[in-house]
Amino acid sequence: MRKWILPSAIVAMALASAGAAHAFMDEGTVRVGHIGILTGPGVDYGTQVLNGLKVAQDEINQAGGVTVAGKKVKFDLAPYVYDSARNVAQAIALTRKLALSDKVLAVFGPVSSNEAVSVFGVLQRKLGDSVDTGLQLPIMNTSAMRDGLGEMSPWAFRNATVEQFLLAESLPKVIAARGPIKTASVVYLGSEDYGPAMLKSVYGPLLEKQGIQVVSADGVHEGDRDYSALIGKLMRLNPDMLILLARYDVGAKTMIEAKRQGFTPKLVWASGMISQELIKTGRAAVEGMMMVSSYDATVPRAAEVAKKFKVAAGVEMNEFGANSYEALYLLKAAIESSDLRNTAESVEEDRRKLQAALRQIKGFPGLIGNIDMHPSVNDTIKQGLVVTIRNGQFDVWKP
Amino acid sequence: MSFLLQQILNGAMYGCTYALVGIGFNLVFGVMNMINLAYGEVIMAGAFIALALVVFLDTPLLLAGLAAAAACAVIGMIVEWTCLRPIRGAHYMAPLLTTIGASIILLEIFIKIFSTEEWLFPTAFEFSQIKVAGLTVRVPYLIILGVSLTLMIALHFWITRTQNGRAVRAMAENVDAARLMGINVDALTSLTFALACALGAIAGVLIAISSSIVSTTLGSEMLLKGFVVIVLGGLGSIPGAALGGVLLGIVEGVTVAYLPSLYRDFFSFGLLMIMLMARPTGLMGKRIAERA
Amino acid sequence: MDYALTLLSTTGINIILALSMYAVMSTGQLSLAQGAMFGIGAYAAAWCTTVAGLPLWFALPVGSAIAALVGAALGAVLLRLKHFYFAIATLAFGELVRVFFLNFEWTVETSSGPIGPRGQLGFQKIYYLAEHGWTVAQFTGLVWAILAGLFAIFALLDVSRMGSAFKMVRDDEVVAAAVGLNTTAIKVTAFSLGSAVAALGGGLYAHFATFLLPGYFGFARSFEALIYVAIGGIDTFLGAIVGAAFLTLIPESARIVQDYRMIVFGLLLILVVLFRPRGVIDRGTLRWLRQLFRSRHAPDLARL
Repeated sequence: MRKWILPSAIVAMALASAGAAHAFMDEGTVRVGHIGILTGPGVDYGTQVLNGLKVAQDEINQAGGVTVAGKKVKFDLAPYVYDSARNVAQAIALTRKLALSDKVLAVFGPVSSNEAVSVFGVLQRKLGDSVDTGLQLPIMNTSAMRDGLGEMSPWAFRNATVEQFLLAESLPKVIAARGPIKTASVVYLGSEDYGPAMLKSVYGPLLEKQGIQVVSADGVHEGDRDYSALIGKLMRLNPDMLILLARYDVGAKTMIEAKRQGFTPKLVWASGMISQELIKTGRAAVEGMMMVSSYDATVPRAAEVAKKFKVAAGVEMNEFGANSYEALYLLKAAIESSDLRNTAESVEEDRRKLQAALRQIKGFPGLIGNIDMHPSVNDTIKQGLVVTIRNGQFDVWKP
Repeated sequence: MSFLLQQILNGAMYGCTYALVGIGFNLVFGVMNMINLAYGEVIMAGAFIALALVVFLDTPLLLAGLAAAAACAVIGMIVEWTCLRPIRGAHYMAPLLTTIGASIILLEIFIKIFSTEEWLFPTAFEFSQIKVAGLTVRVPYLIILGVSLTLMIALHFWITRTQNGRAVRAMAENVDAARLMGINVDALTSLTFALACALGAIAGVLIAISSSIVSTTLGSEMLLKGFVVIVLGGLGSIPGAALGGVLLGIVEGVTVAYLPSLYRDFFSFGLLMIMLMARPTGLMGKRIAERA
Repeated sequence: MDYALTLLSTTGINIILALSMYAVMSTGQLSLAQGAMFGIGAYAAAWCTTVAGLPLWFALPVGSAIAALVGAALGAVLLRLKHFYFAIATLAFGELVRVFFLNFEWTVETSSGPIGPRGQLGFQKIYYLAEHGWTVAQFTGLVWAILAGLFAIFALLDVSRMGSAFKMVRDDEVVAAAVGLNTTAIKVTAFSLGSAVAALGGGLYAHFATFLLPGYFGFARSFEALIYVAIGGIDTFLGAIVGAAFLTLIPESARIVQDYRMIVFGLLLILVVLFRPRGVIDRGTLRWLRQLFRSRHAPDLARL
């Protein structure tokens, strides 16, 4: 019985891909896909990304759709949403499926940084390079925070909160306001590469420029419950600034212990933990924490979208959902500014045109400000704002 | 110097939770030579059952803890009955695999209910602490110490003074002889399992109240710690597990206090390997023939 | 088509991982270091093709050789420990290897930035395949060619004297020692072989995924290998193949149960062990298969 699983799976898949050979315009849709995390760890991020896309799709379709080859067509993500379950090999396989069997124009995702690095790694690295056997498919990521993702391939784009761009302006202002700050300690999640990557390429140079010495860097473990020794050590070192680069639970646990032992540095700055969960679990201990965000829920347009999002997803929208919402609109703009034919035969050509159009994004109206594609890498430059936790809420900070 | 002492004190007190985990492990392994890899998830289950009772039904902590222990005792008996009893006598890997299966199922069920997010376990004494001889003793740790000591003493009493306890020791020596003497091996096995899981549940609750925040990842982390503890302390030795747990807590605390956190695993596992090579029976384990 | 081929590649790599676990288990030992050996092979082979600029056909064996040496050394030290202790020791070793890679940096500067392993940042830009024009089909072919080679090696091992010695040690070490076999040397050989095979799989994985993180090679990976063999069958290398293939492809064909995938998997594990403790392909199935092949010949008097 088991002997037949593999051959029949292959036959089934071959049949499925054979059925995709009719013109897309006849369907009245533009094909876009999504590699998401629908089950397993990371599903809370996956939910944000998926629903950000869904809310945008509903809005766009209700307003008539996307204009392609002179006609209005709709977005229909549903048949092309796949679950990688945060498995790298799956993500790679699914990307190839979307590119070659499903023949989508573009893909959103993957959700986690690890998957993103591998998936971007199998894309073509130089346009027009005939030796390079990488995939030629525009992929837009809206949730991976690891730096350098926008430089990996001309086909890989990112509309995410890329802190390396936002921090250069915001952080010095905050430091000046809270200063003088001479020393900093860093706490990050040791089992992920996000923290070390941020430290090495973003925070390290920034702090050095500000003349701040990093006196300690600790990678805590995923399941760590007891932070007493860590905070004990930090109290001895007594840095002026504490930098947290991790998920919200590490932040909450660190701050609770800090409150318990009376560790109160002049500035607590965080990355990667803008979510209601931080406030829910940290409560009074996280008051005064500061971070940079590209999403401000109080801006009218953002608030409207957030309401629809809450209905669709059942949870509050955060910047991942916001970035994904913007991303579909970005794609729409790129589609409409290129001369696509949207047929099964023109897929490769259409993708190339789309890639070029995405590179040209300038002055695009995002949720809280204008968005430009960076001149040399494929990351969008967005408006950033500094937020602080005040009275159990994220509040915009002004110096 | 007082900084070092403080870290040692904290580590030792927190290490009592590891001790409880190790004791529960050893009860099952030492007595029945069976490994229960679902134990980690049982600990997690205990923490979350108590959490749910406290957060959603406003149950007082003590009651919630006891209820969690009872519930996990039942879970333990189910696991024993379905995953271990049917394969007694099969090759040594069989119980490893079935209990891994059980742990996967248990974890999934709790993830479905509680998702993978972090939950707050509110307690009144979260920030309470007292000063003793210039050192700070935090109340949650005090509770851990108190509860653990009580349980360990009670367990010791049970094993050495009660009839059931003595029967269990007889089983550990020689199962067949015990059976011949009229001891109901099946019933006692279930009982020991239930007891071990109840202990695990309480360990889970203690961990939850001292760290304020729990998630469903607690299980796998505790399983790994459990391994280290029983190897350090000695397979089958209950006082050994107690010692091993406290020792591990101290090693972890002191390592993090003086070195970057990344080295903590290096020391825990390094210690483990050295122990295995130099003295595989652990600090207090029974001598076991190594050459098969 | 490339989708199916990608799945085949992944399956192939998982089978190699499973075979490495089988190699160790064929002498009755349980190792939880296969993930670490897989990782050593991955990092070593990737380093060869990126930092050292060596070709793939050279990089893969180098990775295997390194792992084989590590395995031999480790085995010599640890194999006097009994089953459970040995397993825990390999688990600890695996974690130490992970900590090692979290701190291991060896990069060279290139026009596109540093290339090589970078500790906690992982090992990025393993672009050998794309740079040398390898298609998905060609890579899949390579994986399965290597598998065919391993298949031959394990089949030969099975019928050789060494193989019989392995089986004797697995079935009863005391008896094996009594008839004069050097049980420790045999166990170390098997462990070294298992390490080399795991490293081969790791090297292939590195080039498939283009990106490595130390966390990919912890005990979760070792457990994966264990489960492939445990479900497929622990008494024969065919078990490793069947187990890995089945468990890699099943999630693909059962999309409907995606949401309850883990519960199904856990139940499967329990049920297989309860009803077929030695795996799907156990001695009974082997016997049946053998008789299937012998039914053409004269009645076989030698009962297995």
